[in-house]
Formats: sequence, C-alpha cells, structure tokens
Amino acid sequence: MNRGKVFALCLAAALSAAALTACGERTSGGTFTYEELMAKFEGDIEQNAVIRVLDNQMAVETGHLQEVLDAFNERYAEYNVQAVDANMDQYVDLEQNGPDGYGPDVLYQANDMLMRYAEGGHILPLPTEQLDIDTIPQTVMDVYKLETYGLDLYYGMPVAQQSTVLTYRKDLLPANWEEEWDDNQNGIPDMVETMNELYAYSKQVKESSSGAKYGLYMSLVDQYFNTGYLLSYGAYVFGETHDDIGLAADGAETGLDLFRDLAGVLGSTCISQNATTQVATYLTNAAGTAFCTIGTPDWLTTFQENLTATYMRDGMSEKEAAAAAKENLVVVAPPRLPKDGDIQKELTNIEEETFAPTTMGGVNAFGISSYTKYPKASLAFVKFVSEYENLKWRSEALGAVPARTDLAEELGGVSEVLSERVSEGLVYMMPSTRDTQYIWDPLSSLFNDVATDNTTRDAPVYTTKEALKGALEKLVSDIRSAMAVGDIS
Amino acid sequence: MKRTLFRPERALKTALVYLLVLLVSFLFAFPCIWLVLSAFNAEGDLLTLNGFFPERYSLDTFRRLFTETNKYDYPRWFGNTLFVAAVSCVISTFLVIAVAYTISRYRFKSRKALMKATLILGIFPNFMNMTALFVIMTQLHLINNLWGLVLLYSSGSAMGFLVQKGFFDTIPGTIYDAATLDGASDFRVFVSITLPLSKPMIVYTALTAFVWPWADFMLPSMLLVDKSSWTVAVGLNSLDDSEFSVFAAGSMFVAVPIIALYVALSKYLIEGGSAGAVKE
Amino acid sequence: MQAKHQSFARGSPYSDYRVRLSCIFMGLGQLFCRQFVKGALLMLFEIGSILFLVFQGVENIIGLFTLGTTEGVPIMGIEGDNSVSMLAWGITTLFLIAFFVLAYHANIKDVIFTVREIGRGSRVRNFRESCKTLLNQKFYVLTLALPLAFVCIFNVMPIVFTALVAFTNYGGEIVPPKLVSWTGFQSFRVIFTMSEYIGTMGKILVWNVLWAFGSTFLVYFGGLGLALLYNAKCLRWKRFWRVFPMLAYAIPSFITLTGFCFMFCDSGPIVGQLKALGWVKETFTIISYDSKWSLRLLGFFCCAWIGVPSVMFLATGILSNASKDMYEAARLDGANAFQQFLYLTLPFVLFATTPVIISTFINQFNNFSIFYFLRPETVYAPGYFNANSSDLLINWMYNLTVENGLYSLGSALSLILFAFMALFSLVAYVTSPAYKKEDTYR
Repeated sequence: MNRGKVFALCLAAALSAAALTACGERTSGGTFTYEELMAKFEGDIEQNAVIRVLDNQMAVETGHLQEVLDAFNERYAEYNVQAVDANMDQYVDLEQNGPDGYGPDVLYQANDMLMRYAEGGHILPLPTEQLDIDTIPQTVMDVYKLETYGLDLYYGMPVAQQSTVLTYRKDLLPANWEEEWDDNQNGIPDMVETMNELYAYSKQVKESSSGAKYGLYMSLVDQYFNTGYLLSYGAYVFGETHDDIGLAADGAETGLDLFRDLAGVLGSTCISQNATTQVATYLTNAAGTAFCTIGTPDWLTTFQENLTATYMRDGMSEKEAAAAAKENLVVVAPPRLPKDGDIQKELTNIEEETFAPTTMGGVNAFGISSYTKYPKASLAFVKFVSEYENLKWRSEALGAVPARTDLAEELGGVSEVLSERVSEGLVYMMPSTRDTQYIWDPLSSLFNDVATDNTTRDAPVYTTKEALKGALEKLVSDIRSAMAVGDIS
Repeated sequence: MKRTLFRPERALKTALVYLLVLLVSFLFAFPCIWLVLSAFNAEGDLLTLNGFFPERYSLDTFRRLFTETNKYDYPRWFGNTLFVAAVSCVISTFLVIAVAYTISRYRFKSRKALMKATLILGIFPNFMNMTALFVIMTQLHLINNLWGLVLLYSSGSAMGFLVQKGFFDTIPGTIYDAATLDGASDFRVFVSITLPLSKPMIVYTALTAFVWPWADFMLPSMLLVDKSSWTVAVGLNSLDDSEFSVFAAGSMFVAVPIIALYVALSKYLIEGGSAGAVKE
Repeated sequence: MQAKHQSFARGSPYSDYRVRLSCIFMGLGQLFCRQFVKGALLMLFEIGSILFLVFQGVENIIGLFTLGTTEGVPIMGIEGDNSVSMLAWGITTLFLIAFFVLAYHANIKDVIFTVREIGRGSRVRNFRESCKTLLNQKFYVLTLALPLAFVCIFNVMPIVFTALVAFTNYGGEIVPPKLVSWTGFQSFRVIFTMSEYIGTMGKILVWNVLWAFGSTFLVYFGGLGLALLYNAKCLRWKRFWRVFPMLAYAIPSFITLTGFCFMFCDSGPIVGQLKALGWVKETFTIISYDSKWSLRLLGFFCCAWIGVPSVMFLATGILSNASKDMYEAARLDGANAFQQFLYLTLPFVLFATTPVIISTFINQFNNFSIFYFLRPETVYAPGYFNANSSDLLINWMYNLTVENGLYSLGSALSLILFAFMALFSLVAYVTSPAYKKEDTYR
C-alpha cells in the first residue's frame, strides 16, 4: 500500500515537472522575403523526380491526363522525370494526407479548395515572373492572391474558368419556334433567352409528355450553380469582413422565390446530386428526354460524345454523327431573369423587363503541394500544362473554358460566351478563403428545403416572401454557427 | 399402419405455412433478382428501367467493368479485396481459435478481467476511432498498404472470440484430463484433440473472418487513398449514380462467391453459430 | 546457506539478496540463481528499455504534454512539430512504460518463485525447462500475447487517443502544421452549451434509443418467427427454402443498402410504380431531403432484411437442440401450439441467446451503415446541426469528424456516447443469467 503511494507521488512529481517544461515558448514561422520563398524553384530540375499529379475525374477518365503526362515526361527525358497520375479521388484532402507524404505533388482544384490549402500553408506560392500570366485577366489572378509575410503571393496557375452556361439541343426545338418562340425576332429562341419563356416551355413539355420529358433539366441541389439566383438579386457571400454574410441581403428572397417556382416545374427527380450526371444521358438520348440544361461547360465534351453515339445508333456514320452532335448542341449564356422575379408571367418586352443574371464562378488552377520533394519538377509541370498549345489541347479534349483571354477568343463558342460574361462582371468569383467551405452545406440544405417545398411537400411553407426571407436568415445563422464551431475546435 | 385422414385444419395450416414461406422467399429474392437483372441493362442507368426491369438486355456492362480501367480498375480492386480477405481470414481464424480456447480452457488470474475488457472494448465501435486509426497508421506507414488492413481486421476479430469460447466450453473437461494424464503437453492436446472436435466452429470462424474484410467499407475508405490499392467496396461506392448497372454488375462478383460459400457451408454455419451462442 | 533459506520461507521474501538484486536490476537475481540465459535476457531487456527511454521515451513524454513547440512552415520546407503524431507517440511510450513495469513485476515474482523452489531443495529450472512450461501451465501466455499486443495497438490505443483528443483543440483550423494544444473540458463545454449541439444531441439521442430498441426487437423476433416457420413439420424442402434468407445473409450490406436506396429513391422503380398505379399522390416520396418517418421506416425494413436471417439461423440451431420430450409432454397435457411457444420455446431461446440480444442491441445502437447508405447525400435538415433527422449518433459523429474535420468535438461526443453505452451493456450483461451461470455447464 505504502509503496503504491510513493510511486503515485513520484509519478505526479514527474508529470508536473514535465507540465512545467511544457509552458515554454512556442515558436512559429517567422517571416521570409520573396527571394527566400522562391529559392526552392531556382536552378535545374531534379534528376529522377517522380511527381504525382492530381487532375479532375474527367481528365483521368478520358485519358487526357495520361497523354499530357507522357508528353511531359518525353520533353524532360534528359532529367528522367516521371510525372504520374496521383490516382486518388479528385477531392482528396491535402490537409489530411499531405503532411504524411500521401498527397499529390501537383494538384488541379477550384479556387476555394486551393486557397484553403494556401491559408493553411499546404501549397506553395508560385514564382509568377516565370509563368505565362500576361493574358489572364487580373480579376482571375486576384482569386489566387493571398497576402503572406506582407507580400502579395499567387498560389495557383489559373487554367480554366468555372461558371454557368445553358446548353440545349437544337434538333429538339419545336419546328415552329421561329413563329411561336421568338417574340423579339432576334433569331434566338426565347426559351433559351429568358427564364420566363424557359419556364413556360418546360411546363408545356412536361404536361404534353405527361411527365416523361423535360424542357429544362438540372440539379436543384447544386448549391454552386443555384446560388446564382440569389446573387442576381442582390445577395453576396462575404462583405468587408467575414462577419458580414450577405446571402440574405435584400432582394435575395426574390431570387429564392424564382428558384422555388423553377423547382415546381422541374420536379422531385431533380432534387438530387445525381441529376448533375443524369443530364448527360437525358440531354443526349434518342428520346430527347431533356431539351436543355444549365450548368458547367465542362460537360460539353461528354454531351457531344454521347450524342454522337446516339446518332450513330440511329444509322449515321461516325463523321456525320460527330458533326451533327457538334452542330446541335448549342451553348449560350444563362437565360435572362425577370426584374421583378416573377417567372410565371408572360413577358412583353424582353429588354425592358429582364436582366442578365449573375452567376457563381470560380477558377480552377494547378497548385504545388508544400510537401513535394521535387518543387522544380513540379513547377516545370505547371509551366508545361499552362503553355498556350497545351491549354488549347486541354480545352479541346475536356471542354474546359480557358482562363486566358487570347485562347478563349481563338476557341470561340462556349469559351467566348463565358469569357465575355467574366469581363462584363456577371460572374461572381467565389471567395478564395477557408471560410467559403462553411457556406456549401447550409446552402445545399436551403436549396433542398426550398425545392422540396414546391415538389413533394404536402403542406408547403415557403409560400410568402417573408417565409423565404426567414429561410435565408436561417441560412446565414447556420453558416455563422458552422464558422463559429470551426473556430473553436 | 394408421392412415392419415384428410383433416381440413391441418390442410389450412399447411397452406398458410406455404403461403408465408413463399411470401418471405419473395421478399428476400426479389431485390436480388432486381439487382442482377439491372446489371444486364443495356442503357446503364437507373431511370431507363421500364417499371422494375430493363427494356433491353446486354452484356455491355460486364465488358465495361473489366475493360474500362481508366474509369474503374475493377480487376485490381477485386484482387486487392481477395488478398485482404484471404490473408486476414487465415490470421484471424488462428488468433480467434487460440484466444477462445485459452479463455475457455484455462483459469488464470486476469481471465474475468480480460473478458470484461473485451466486452467494454466491443462497445466502442471501430470507427469511432477512425481519426485515431488514421493517425496511427500514418505513423506506421501503413496508409495505402493492404497489410495495414490485414492487421486491423485480424486484431479486430481477435476480440470477437466469445462465440468460439462458448463452443469450447461445451467440450467436456474430462477429455482433457484423460489426455493430460497420458502425458501429452497442452499444446499437443489442443492440436490433436480440440481442433478435430471443433471443425464446424473453425469453418464458421473462417467464414465470418473472411466476410468482414470482404464486405467492409469504412476502414478501406479511410485508409486507402491511392486508387490502385482500393478494395471493391470503396471502388463501387465511388461510382457515379448514373453507373448503376456497373455497380450492380460489380456487386454480383462480390456477392456470388459469398453466397456460394454460405450455401455450401450452411450446415456448419448453423451449427457453429448456435453452438457458441447457446452456452456463451 | 541452508539455514538462511529456511528463514526466508517464513519471513518476507524481500529479505533474500537475490530478490533484492532483481528489484534493483532485472535479471540480476536470476543470474545468482544460476539461470544464466533467462537472467541475461532480462538484463538485456532492461538495458534496451532504459536506452529507449533515455533517447526517445523522455522526449515522447514531454511531447505528450507540450504537443509541440515549433510550428512548421511547410512552404519553406521547415519541418516543425507535428502535434498529432506527438500525441500518438506519447501514448505509445506510456504503453511501453506500463509494459516495462509489468515485466519488472513479473521478474520479481519469478525470482521469488525460484528462490522458494531452491529453499524447498528442488533443482533450479534451466532455460529449456522454463520454455517448456510455456507450452503447458503457461500456455495461455503464449496464445494470448500476440492478440493482446494487437488489441493494445489497434483497439486500446486508438481509444485512448480519441479520449485524449477530446481534451484538445485539434480539428477545424487547428490541424498540422499548426500546433494543437490542451484545452481541458472546452469541447464538452461547447457541446453542452451551444444550442445547436445540445438541441441536435437531444433529438438524435431520442431517435437513436428508439431505433436501437425497435430494430433489435424487429430483428430478434423476426428471426425467431422465421426459424419457427421454417421448422414447421408440414414444410418440405426446408433446405431449399432456407436458401432465400441465406441470400440476404450473404450479400455484403453495402451492396444491399445501396441497392435499396436506388430501389426506393424518387427516380427508382418503387415510387415510380406506386405513382403509375395511382396509389399515392404525385408528391409521394420515400427518400428525400426532409423525409423523416418514411426514411426511418425504410431503415427498419432494410435492417430487418439484413439482420433477420442471421438470428434465424442462430435460432434454428438452438431449436434443433431443444428437447423433443418436453414438447411431447406439453402436447399430452393439452397445451396448444401458442402455449407451447410461450411457455417452452420462448424462455428456452431467450435464455440461450441473451448475449446475442445484447450484442445485437449494441450493434444496432451504433449501426452506421444503414442511414449512411440510404441517404447518400450529405444534407442537413433544419433543426439539426451537421445532421439529418434519420441520422444516428454515430452518423452525426462521422459528419463532425470525417466530413467536417471537427475532431475534438467528435471525440468528446464519442466519449459521452461511450459512457452511455458502457453503462447500459455492462449492467445488462452482468445481470444476465447466461453470465452468472457461466461455469455451471462445465
């Protein structure tokens, strides 16, 4: 018994001694000059480097990434560099896997993800003087800017723009569209020009096919794209500080009401993330289940491939089918919204009564992990993929919209549409900060809630503007709680 | 011999039993049939089903499953799963039988404490510790490593020895006493007497030890970052929902071997499971 | 010499010089008992342990308290302290020290045993004989060592780790390379004071308890009922019919659940057919964003589909052990089938399967996969913080830690959950007849 006590006392003494030493100063980072930060990129690239490249799913699945890797390895054959597919889930968490050496060396992500890593110090600031960024608009570059050690540093090499476009099937237009669906006689079908007409057309298609077909088909729970309806009517994400969350700003409820009406005509099958992938089938099948969709331009290549396959099944030759698919899938800017938010009414003057919508946008870029053993080889790879020719290659293979304006002009089509929208200030760049991660789940819940309200709910609750305003205020308070908890923990 | 007369109430009872059995069989069989037929759906996604079943059937899904390795490296996932399941099965069976036998046969000081500790640890579900396991596995450099999974499954199953212990409890102690009097060492007793007697139990243990890693999703999804080390469960769950047919086809190759094993060994399964439970 | 040993047999064992030597340094006493190999091995062990402690152990223990002092700067390639791995290594070192203490204790006991043997005049065991006892009286040491080590590393250590993380601020923005620090009961304070948490916890806990009781009841009596049905005398081809539940038993549950999710979702065949038949309204839905009871009921159904067969096979085995005479006697006494079930079958099966009921209850209480796979999208319902109305505590914990990286809060929550469960099942188990009568069957 006695011995036990002595032992316990000794242990307690030892522990408190250790606890005291624990109170010593904690040192953190220090500051560095630009030259010091960039020193790791100086000089020839490493011999026998192996760099793991994480690209998005589409680049991997289409085989584009492998081709790029092969081309890169060939060019740097003298250094025996081996760039390989990181072969991970495209949303793998660098914060969790990087420090232990299981993350990728080079990663392709959207700006909210990359800049979250930048704030945590998980990715490297890039030597912009070595990169070809002259033709990238400053607004796009700013997305990747972060003040570190008193310096404005850029953490990503912007490659592709992300925002919303409308894609429709020209061959599915009603035969008499020029008479019936072109009130302003500008040669653009009204249902892809304004949301009111698109709503009316969707309703008509749905009713005449008794629910088997859709005019518009898109995911109602895609928080990223649907936030555009709030932004168009005056909402914003963060104001001067992150305490100022503007998603419930005056007017946002009008946008939410419009979204609710839209949900009513789309139906409950669209209240699912699946709808985002489902549309690739619906828009391109022989039956023509969907006439158009609103979403990312990244899908265009997939749409074209699927439609080509459909046409070939109908008896066209491969060449004809490919040409017809390219011809029939038209990409335009997202439809104009009514100023008063009422999409059910008939428009009399399109110019007067509607406005071009603001959409949420982002910029995808290549970044370099802080934990890479081969910064020089990684930088060489980033330089390689951001060369003009290789960006063009990427855009053509994957339908990505380039961040470079000169390339966007050359490519035309969807790239030009989106580029113009960016320069007109109609694309709201999602904030490049860690706090952005806290808005997505609450937003997703909001859109789920409101869309469900007008589709499968027996007793709808969001029938008034006040109720919608309440939902938005709840959204903001949910985001605040999420941020607060993130700070505490 | 007395001839059985036709008795209406007995006939009614028989009819009722058959009706119920048919209903139950339908409830169990229908989802399986549905899943299998979906695998042969030519269109590939859920919404192209006509009512419950596909309009056109084709083998295309299976071709894609094994050839489109850019999208899903199914053969590799399958191989990984087989490796993990087989190795953990061998190690776990060995450990579980050894522990159960020891706890059942020997009376030593910390025996009850060990059993109680096992019970308490069992309450703590495995992946409440997910974060901790991830950290420990990174320190041991066992991320992306199939052996890491094998270790976890083996150690996890070692805690599930209670059923086997219950079985060993039913072997009368007199057998052991006789053998020990003959001068056999305890190790020899175990090998030459206990093991042959417990064949159903060993089959049961091996089967359950195989099925857990074979069908588990949580651990591999946490610990396998690199796609080339994925198991089937992680791989299939990463598929887009529009790839429903591929999911169904992939599932078939996971489920069929297990079903075959279970049906073939059902005798052992029933004996083993209940023998342990009755006198646990 | 002889006299001294005689006195030791009566007095304290610590008066013997060899025992004292072993108390001072492991193995010394054994050496003086002429057990050279054993003594040398023990000394080597102590030297190794001391070396480890000096060169690594002390640092690890200090690290456990400080959780790191220099913050790393990954962008400059400056590797700082990784608080999380320091925590892990600190715990490992504590475990090793505990093991060392145990080994030291065993060493003293061993030398006392040997000295006693010498005192009785027996021959001292040589190393080979010592090893041989491992195969006999101490066989359990041999078989339990490896599993115990495994369980310590992969089950106990993670639990200790999780428990300690609950008292830090690890998670959210505080992840390596940032330094984690000890924050005492802050996580618990957050859980019990932030209205989001306490409200969500209350709602989820009520549903979780309901779920655990409901599903255990369903699975258990469903299985028992099926076993009785398949045992009916008038049923032929029993082996054939049993294949169907075997299907459900054998298919991995992630497949079953994903399949059911597809089957019952809005675009799936069930909802579609019901609508086509006009049996339900156009707004009918089973799995949707805010479906509460429809999804919960589906959860019960899927749980039964998966769980009933295993109980059924168990009960089938048990029923075949039931004595036929008992039923014959009851039948002669005029008991009908229902009475037979109520007074003979049920008590017998219930007694035999109490541990199964408890383990089923624990498994159902922590049934993660049901609602994880049935509601594949991460959406949070109004009134719930980072959770949905069908989520169990375990799903909530997953959302907090894996989805949102709030490790310390998740750990604190799992401690609370653990306390709750441990209390329940220990009471249930210790008071169960099967546990009390454990040895009556030998």
